[in-house]
Amino acid sequence: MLILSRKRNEKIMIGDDISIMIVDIRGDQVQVGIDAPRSIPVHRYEIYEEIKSTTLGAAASESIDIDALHKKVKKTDKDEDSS
Amino acid sequence: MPIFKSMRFGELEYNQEDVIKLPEGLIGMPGLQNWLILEMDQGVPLNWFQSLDRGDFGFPLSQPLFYRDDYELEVPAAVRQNLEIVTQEEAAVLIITTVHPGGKLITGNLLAPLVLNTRTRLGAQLTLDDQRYGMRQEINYFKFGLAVKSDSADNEAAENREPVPAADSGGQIQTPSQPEKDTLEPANM
Repeated sequence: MLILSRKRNEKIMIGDDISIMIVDIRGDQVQVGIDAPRSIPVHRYEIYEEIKSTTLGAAASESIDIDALHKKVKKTDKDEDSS
Repeated sequence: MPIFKSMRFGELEYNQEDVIKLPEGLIGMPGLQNWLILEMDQGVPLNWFQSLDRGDFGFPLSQPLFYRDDYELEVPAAVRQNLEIVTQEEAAVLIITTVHPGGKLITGNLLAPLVLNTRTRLGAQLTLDDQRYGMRQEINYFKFGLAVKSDSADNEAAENREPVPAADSGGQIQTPSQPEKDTLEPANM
């Protein structure tokens, strides 16, 4: 991994189109500004990983328990009648 | 017509013009670009999104209205351009859906939906920055259950609970010639 030291308001270029600027540093938190073409998606790493793992979970989907679904529907129906 | 071997459904015969192309793949899976939308059996109001790049990969899709009435999103201009979306009517939003083990819990990822251009069959997975939505939002079983077709809902004795592509479903896909249900499960990654 390439490691660079930067001060506030200094930038890093990735290729010709992407620039990353250190906007602010406060304690253990760093604000980063990213300039990239709209075609390049930028995600916080945790969000990116969570989206990916949610999709993998969807791919492992099981069959729907139709009977259980009907029971839930009836229950909801009853709840709405009584309220 | 090309034939594709899917692990869940066996051989699928499909029309090339039915293929949905995600030029950038899914988030975290950029290589999965070619897809088919299959109908489910039993009148379940879900579709199965089958990768044509990986026979063992696919997942259910559901309508946003099964989760909330006020679901809304803005498709960024760059995405509209990539998908050649001209009118709002040709853009369809679908939710990547998980049927959890046991088949009783259904959740949808409202934060990272698919948007498809129904005219050009180009699509993309978006990420929304919206506090109202979650990645594992439970479906509204009442709305979802009402959308299950009644003839299959009454059929308590139905044995086959596996989703299979419907024949002649809007010209989307042919019935697989040799369904291999229950023989293989998708790879667990």
